[in-house]
Amino acid sequence: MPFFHTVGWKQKSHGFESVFPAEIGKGRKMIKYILRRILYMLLVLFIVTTITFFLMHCIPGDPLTALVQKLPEQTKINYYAKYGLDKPVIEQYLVFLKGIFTEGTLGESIRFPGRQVLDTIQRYAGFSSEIGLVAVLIGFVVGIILGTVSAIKQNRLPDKIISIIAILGISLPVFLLASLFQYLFTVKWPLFPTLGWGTPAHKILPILCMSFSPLATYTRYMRSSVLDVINQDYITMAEAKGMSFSQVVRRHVLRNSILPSLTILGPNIADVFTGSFVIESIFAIPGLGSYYITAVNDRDFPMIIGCAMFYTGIYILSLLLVDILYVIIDPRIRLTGDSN
Amino acid sequence: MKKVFAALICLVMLMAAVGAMAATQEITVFRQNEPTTLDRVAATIDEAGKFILWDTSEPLFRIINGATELSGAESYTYDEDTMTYTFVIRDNYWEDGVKVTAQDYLYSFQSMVDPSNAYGYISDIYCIENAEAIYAGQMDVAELGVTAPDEKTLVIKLNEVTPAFLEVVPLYPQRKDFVEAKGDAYGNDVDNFLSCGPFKLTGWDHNSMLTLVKNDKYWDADNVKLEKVNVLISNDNNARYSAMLNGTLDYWETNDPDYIAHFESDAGFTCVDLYTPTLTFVLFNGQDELLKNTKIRQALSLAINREFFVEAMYKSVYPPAYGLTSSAIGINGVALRDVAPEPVKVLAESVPDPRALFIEGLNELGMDPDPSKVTVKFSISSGATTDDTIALYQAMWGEILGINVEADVSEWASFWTDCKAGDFQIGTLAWSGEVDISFLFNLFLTDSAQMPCFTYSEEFDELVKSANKSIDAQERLDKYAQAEKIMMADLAAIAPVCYRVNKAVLRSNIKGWDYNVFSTAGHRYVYVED
Repeated sequence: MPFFHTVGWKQKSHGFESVFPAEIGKGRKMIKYILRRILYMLLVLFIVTTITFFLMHCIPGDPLTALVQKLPEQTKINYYAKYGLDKPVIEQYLVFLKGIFTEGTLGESIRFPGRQVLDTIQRYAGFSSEIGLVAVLIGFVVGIILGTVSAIKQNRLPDKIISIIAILGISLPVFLLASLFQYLFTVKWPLFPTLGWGTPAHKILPILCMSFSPLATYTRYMRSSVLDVINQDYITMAEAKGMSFSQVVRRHVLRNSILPSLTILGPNIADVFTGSFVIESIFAIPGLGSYYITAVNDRDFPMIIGCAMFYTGIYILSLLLVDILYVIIDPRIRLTGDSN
Repeated sequence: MKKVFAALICLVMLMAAVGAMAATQEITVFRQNEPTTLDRVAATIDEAGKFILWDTSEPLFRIINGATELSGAESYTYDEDTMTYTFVIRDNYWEDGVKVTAQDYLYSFQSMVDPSNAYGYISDIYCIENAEAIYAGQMDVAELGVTAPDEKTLVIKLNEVTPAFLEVVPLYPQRKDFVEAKGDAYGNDVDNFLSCGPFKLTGWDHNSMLTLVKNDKYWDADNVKLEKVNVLISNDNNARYSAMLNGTLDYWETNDPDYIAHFESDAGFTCVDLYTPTLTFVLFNGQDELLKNTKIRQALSLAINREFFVEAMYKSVYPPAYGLTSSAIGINGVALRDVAPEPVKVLAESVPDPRALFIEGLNELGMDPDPSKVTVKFSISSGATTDDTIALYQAMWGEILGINVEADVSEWASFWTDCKAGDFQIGTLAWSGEVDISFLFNLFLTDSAQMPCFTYSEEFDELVKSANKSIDAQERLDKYAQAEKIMMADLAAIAPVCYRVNKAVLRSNIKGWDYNVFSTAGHRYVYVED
């Protein structure tokens, strides 16, 4: 995976070597690095798109077979002609590329006539992220806190309670949780609306449901890495220096133990746009998830490729974001090319 | 902190309360998926799109309680040979105040046959003169058998007598200037759509909700009582169940016995059987050594204890079937079931002992008359209920006829390929009928080769073909009833087992609902009772 992991771990031994984050020229190097990564990203995007395009045409079926049962042969002919599906795949691919480079368009949905793929993504990705990003953020922050508490209070009551929450969060499927929440908070105690979109109240239940699983994951990761860190010599050293416990946790423990959680933050952010499908369909949220899944089911070729490109882009971007966060949080980490 | 928290809770409750406090004449229904488009002539128009169009557009005719009724047309006449229909268009207006004209209906027909539109349900309108040739690109659109001599008159010429013409052909208007101005985007959003029906589209949160508000410009607006219809897009059963319980949703369809039991015991809800045109049946291979004998097939059919079967499989939500058509299917509001007894029931009365009939059949074939030496192969496509189905047939045929049943399970595609090739003995499957009663009957015509029962009858063919061409409703019903008796009882080409029925669950203060599965009334006559 040469494109995804270009971060070089140049770790110095733990000790007293002082590290000055603001080295001269570092900012410029960072920009150069980011630019290079973006260049790679475009390359990856191109490759993924190409592979998706051809794979997609290998699957039997087309958008029409998903819809109409009794088809006169003539419909197929007219239909293929209308969407250019009668041409060889290579030619369709070239037309698709031409669309991107000359008109900046990803084409029009076949299943939903008149909806531009690009517009659709722009419009509905926002709804998904309103739920998803907040959920991941809540999951991350709360997970970090719970995980830390759990590790510090290892084997004591808080640890046990938090462990139960974490295990539930990992093992409970999201649709079950959603149905449960819906029953409890919209029927039993009607605090929130059941279905739909529009008011802030509509967002609370979906966000709660979606944050539960990331919360559990981060808690588990954080707990184990905090346990790892608090047994290190430099923590004992810091305590010996007379730092207060909370200072030790904030300055040394958190910084050193947050990296594993950061690593999964990237994929988690990307999942917001595809993994939200279940929640979106249960709560009738107009997000992108439903578009992506129905596009695949209905063989809506332009929509599939558009969503795949979007997803790939978000995924790579979030990896880049995480890599940059690494450097900010742990100055021992250098980006490749930094030190030459 | 506590205060903030308390305030937040109050706010949330307030919002929920506002949501629950529905205006009197407002209902919320659902669709499983987002309409692909509201362009009635688009290639991919789907059921959800059609559903919205019943409310937002005005077809010449609507199917109300199973019968066709004048809607966008004020009156109509047809000539002697019933091949030319002349419609007088009603004075109705688009939501922007422009009059709906015959040209608007004409334009929609022209779009349907335009090859570049690739309209999917084109075979529905092949009965219109030259439609097929134009769609195949062999003729110009101008030669279509639909004309609009003036703005109040629409003339449609048919190729052949088509009794179900008014039910089958989509007779919706589209305004040329508007459609052309919007191009491909027509029908994909609120701003790109123009209503002329009882309601107008005022909001569309894609994949979430559509909002329809009463259209004051509608010609029959005085009789439209609902002010607002919300259509939620929801395809999760549990979510809909919760939404029904807390008042978000006013209408639901389900076939899950547990949910139905709950709603039936609650006075706040009305539960009504919603007959679908789908029939589950057992298919006999009439070419088979054993099954070519009519008595064998009849005995097998009679040995199916249908009451027991639906009870065991579907907790009796689905009713047992003894004929080809369910109560959903009929002609002009009269179901075939209302006028003709179910043939297999009649047959059962004359045959007290299916086992004796089976042995008679074995004797006729010159086979060993001991049923316990007979083994039949029972083919079925794999699904959630496959194992239960096999066990039930093994029990029923084993117990009543004393024969052995061997199961053959495969995926639907290969199951159906085998059936079509005649490479099976007995199979079970379900088939869905259409609004046109002839659809299910045509499956069994000798020359259609659509249903591989390999048991054919000239008498049946004659009856069905002449019924298909008659416009006398009574005569048609009689002929279809006779034809049904031949295929289901006299020949027992297939053994009907059960009809599919969903339960419509409706809040009990909502009235005027049309429970016919083919209804195109929309919510025009629905109202909320105080």
